[in-house]
Amino acid sequence: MTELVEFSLGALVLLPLLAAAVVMLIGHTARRVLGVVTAVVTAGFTVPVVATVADGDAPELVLGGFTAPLGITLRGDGLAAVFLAGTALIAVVLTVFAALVPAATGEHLTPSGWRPGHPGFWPLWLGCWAGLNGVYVSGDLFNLYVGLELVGLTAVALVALGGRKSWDPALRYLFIAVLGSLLFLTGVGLLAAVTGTLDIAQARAVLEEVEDPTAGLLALSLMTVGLGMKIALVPMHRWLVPAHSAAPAVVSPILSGLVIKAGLVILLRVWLWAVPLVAEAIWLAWLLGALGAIAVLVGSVLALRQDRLKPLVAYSTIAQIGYWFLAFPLLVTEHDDAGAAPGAYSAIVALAVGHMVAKGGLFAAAGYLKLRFGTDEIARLRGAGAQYPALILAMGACAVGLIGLPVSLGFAGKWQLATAAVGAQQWWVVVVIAAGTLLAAGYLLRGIAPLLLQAPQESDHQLPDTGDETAPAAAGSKTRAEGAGELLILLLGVATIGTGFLGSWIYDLLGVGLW
Amino acid sequence: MISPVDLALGAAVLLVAGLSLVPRSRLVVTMGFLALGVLVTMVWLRLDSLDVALAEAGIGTGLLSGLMVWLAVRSPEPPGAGGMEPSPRLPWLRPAVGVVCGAVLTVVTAAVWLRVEDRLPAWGGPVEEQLPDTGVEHGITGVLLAFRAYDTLLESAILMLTAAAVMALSSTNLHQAAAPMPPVPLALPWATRLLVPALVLLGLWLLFAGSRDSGGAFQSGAVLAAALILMRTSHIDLRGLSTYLLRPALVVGVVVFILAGLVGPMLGLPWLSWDPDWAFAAVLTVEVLLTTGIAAGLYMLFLTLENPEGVR
Amino acid sequence: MLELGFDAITWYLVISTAVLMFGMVRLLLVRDLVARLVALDVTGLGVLLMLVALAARSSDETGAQAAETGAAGPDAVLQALVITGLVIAVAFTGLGAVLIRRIEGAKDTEGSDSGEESPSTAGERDRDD
Repeated sequence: MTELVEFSLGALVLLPLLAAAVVMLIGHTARRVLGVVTAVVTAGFTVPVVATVADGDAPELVLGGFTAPLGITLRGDGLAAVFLAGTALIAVVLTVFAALVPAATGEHLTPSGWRPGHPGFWPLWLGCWAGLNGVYVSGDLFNLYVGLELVGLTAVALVALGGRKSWDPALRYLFIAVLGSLLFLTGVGLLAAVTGTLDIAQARAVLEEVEDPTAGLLALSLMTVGLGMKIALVPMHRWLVPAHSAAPAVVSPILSGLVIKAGLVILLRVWLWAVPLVAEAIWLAWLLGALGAIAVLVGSVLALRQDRLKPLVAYSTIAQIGYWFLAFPLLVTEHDDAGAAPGAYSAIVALAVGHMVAKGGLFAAAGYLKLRFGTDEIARLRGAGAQYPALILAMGACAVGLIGLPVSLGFAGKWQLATAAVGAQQWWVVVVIAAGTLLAAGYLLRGIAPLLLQAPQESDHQLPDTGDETAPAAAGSKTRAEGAGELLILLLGVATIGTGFLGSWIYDLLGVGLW
Repeated sequence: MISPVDLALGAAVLLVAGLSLVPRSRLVVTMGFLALGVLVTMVWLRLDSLDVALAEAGIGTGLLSGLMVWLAVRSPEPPGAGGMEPSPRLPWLRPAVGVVCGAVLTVVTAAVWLRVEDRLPAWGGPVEEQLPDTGVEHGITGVLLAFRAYDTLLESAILMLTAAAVMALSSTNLHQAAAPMPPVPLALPWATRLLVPALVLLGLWLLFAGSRDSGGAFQSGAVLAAALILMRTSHIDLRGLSTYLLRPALVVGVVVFILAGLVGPMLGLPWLSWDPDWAFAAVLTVEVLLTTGIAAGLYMLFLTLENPEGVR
Repeated sequence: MLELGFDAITWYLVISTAVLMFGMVRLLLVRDLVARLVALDVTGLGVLLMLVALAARSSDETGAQAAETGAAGPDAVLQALVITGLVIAVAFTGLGAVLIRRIEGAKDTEGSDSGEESPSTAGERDRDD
């Protein structure tokens, strides 16, 4: 069993990577088949890891048999297990969706013009997944940097699959992504200079003995700013909306659901594992908390003002990111009063995983509607719901998760966060949560409700001016594969509600391998 | 304590960094970056880091700056981008804010650097002890292909996926490979005939010297890619290579690396373990194929810089 | 070890910090795409310079620690990390350069020869606008 778990820890990264390489050599149809097979097998490898963690063990893999500080150690602890499992769920659904609806992967250039579907999606997406898993299980600071770059590069390239309109957002994303990881690397260099090691656990042990906290504090600040750029925390959020809304239908949920979570996981690793600062970093935590509050409010208000579906969903991501940072001040009050920190930590993870599932579903649905109707203007999508009941149902379920209504992981997270805030007597957090919840209900209603209304004229929302094969097909002509794709989105909606029952299980899981 | 050479070199680095940041002309900026690469290479030689200096000279200064200068020459004036003028009303505001922010950040960070009580890396001893197990004698190669092979694998994957990304930004048939290149002086093809064999030899030497001395897959791959680019620029027909060999060459390094890493688990060892008995063979195989992948990836970056039909 | 004073390594650390910070500020302020890409690479070079300077400490300090381990040259691990970082920087710059070429190539012809494009492209554009 131990051997299987160790093997799985490595395979979670190396199998998708191998597939990403092989898939570059084969034809389009074969890519879809191999992609789905890889997704299923990779998801299979998460099972032994998660099962071991659920038993209370934190498996380790010493790569090449070279122990730290010389080599790299992979660790599957509670945080890794939760994100591995969540990612596996979303990734399998989205992979199958992309295989069924190839047009959702962007458009590619042939000698005779642009064609729907992009075969380049497959290597990039599998590479991205490998990078995500690599980030979750990494126990080494420099390796975290490399994993972050792998995710960042593939994410930028995935945005660029959307054709001309997406190149500009992709380039903006590239600048910010690289700058963010360079700042992170600077922090890594500083930590290596002070501690003499790159292993996270060893660095922590050394830092705990160092009396002068300046270097640790500077490293923490640099890494936090860098990762804040990659997560799109509010003053650094401008790149996210164009990138996430210009991306192809299946890429937006990958970016919003998964890619920004890699930054969050690294941020948690740095704050809770690598740099054991409590007293000195408190102002930074408060700053993050304030920015988080601003993000919740500003992101929600901006989402309310959108009249296109994908930007609306993208602004909702910015608001949701705010909640994670809102919990940071509670995370470091560990010493003065009891019990707030574990609750806040668990709240961050629950909110992030809940967002992963719900936003994956909502963005996939929005992208699919844009694909079918050729537009995501809310006004022109009036009445679309009548033809796509499964899709509307899925969007409703995802909205429940994003608003944070009971039974969803979003609700569990907000509940934990509010409880921790009350325990620490930080009432303002509760106020922000309440305001954010109301605003979320507002913008999601504004986005989804028109789909349910009666269409002004039957067929008016069909695009009048195109006659080519990328034109939105009439509702009756959708293929069986596309019907199955809609059911997959519905599956994400169901999962949004279903994972709500896992709140306390996640809380227990997170206790494994804690700093 | 500090020698005048270091003082001068550092000042020059600052000056040239300014030259590659401040001017408005694309060509000047990229040339400044090229010069910065040369200076930084010298700094690294001063700091006794021959391997890094070689990598910087090959990959950084050689290929990267070449790419940039080429980019600046091909698109000198951004259509409709309005040059670099950021704000019309207070033209001095942005530069001033920039200088102040840069200065403050530098002072704060440097102050921390100066007071940091640093500690030497804890891996110094283990590197020396375990190096014999890897079959290579050069420390850096040992780190890249044995101790931290996982990082190197992910990094080669990044280069491979970059090639996949730029291919995705091109036409499906990668027609740039057949597109005509701009005319060149007649002397270049002749020079190429002389240079290419020399470059290939240099590349191979860097590759095989890597196990004992400075050099290795990355430096060697950069030199081989440079040879390919030179051949392409001087109108030597590489279409067959680009069409049939480039993709397999791109992926073979990563595929074989992972498969070699899989041998460990088959024998009951952890992932990416090389048994001392065959470690040298494994490392050498992986290194040779990685070189192929790196050269192919870097060449692909150059190839796809030319816009495909539908875009242009 | 506190009296590092002003040796070559500290000097290069300060230089690298300045290069890093000014590159970053320029990246955030400038609008021209090529200039931003160059600024990004200058920033990256600053970070790598810092790592190499760190690696050089182990050869520079002839203190007891270095003699104990018998480490002769600069630290191999940090040098290897710099090579890794260099390759990653090249990868990103290559992608950025290709993106810039495509963006400006598309802008070049936005008005002039869009009539030659296939109908599907024209349709795609209309819908996105």
